Amino acid sequence: MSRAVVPEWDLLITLTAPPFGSDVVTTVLRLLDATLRRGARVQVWACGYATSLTLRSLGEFKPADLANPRERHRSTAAVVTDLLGAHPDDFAWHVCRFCAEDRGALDHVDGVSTRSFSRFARRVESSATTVYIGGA
Amino acid sequence: MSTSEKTAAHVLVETAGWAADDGRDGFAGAARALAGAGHQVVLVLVQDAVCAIATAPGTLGRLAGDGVTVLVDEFSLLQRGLPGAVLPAGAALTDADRIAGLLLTPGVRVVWH
Repeated sequence: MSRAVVPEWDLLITLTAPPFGSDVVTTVLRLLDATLRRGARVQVWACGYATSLTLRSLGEFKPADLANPRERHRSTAAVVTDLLGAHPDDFAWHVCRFCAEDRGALDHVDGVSTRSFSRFARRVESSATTVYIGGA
Repeated sequence: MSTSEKTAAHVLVETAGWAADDGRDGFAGAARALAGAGHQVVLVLVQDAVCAIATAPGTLGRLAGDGVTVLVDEFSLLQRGLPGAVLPAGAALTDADRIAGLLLTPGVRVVWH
């Protein structure tokens, strides 16, 4: 009798959409927060210019808003760091090494892993559901 | 988790703006075809796609009438200055938690545009 294999992860979000063309990053961060609050195990695979979201050089805060310079907003790298710290066993953020190298974007915040694209199939295989959020 | 989340087999997430008369249909055709074939279908409008409540209300209303669950992201409406917008008949507001529940439904098939 074969036994059902329980996927290691509940959800894989493959993010290739560029960060600044729309509010897609806001949507993804909202979904990460909501799925993790539900106790799900979630991983992100960032490709293309989405590899820039976790660069260490982004620092803790976004550049100051000149209309309201006293208000500071955390960078995506800082938000991802927060999520990794809050959910060390249930959340992972992977960066595609090829895309990162192609963009000179290899220095990421702690906890973010840089992986060969040849490992992507393994990420899909280990997830119950894969959602591809694309965009050139 | 609600009943609709437990039975949702196809979740179509539209993020791009569209109108009924611009040659695009924002997944409406796919949603209608899947529902017509007997599948459970949820159409989720997020980001610019929420503006379809104004540009294609008739299409959305007909989809709801055809058995498609039409959900409109309230956060995206607020970001676009559309609080309290009137939704097409049969459509409902949703939030990140409910969308998360849909994505985590066992066996769900998600298409994101």
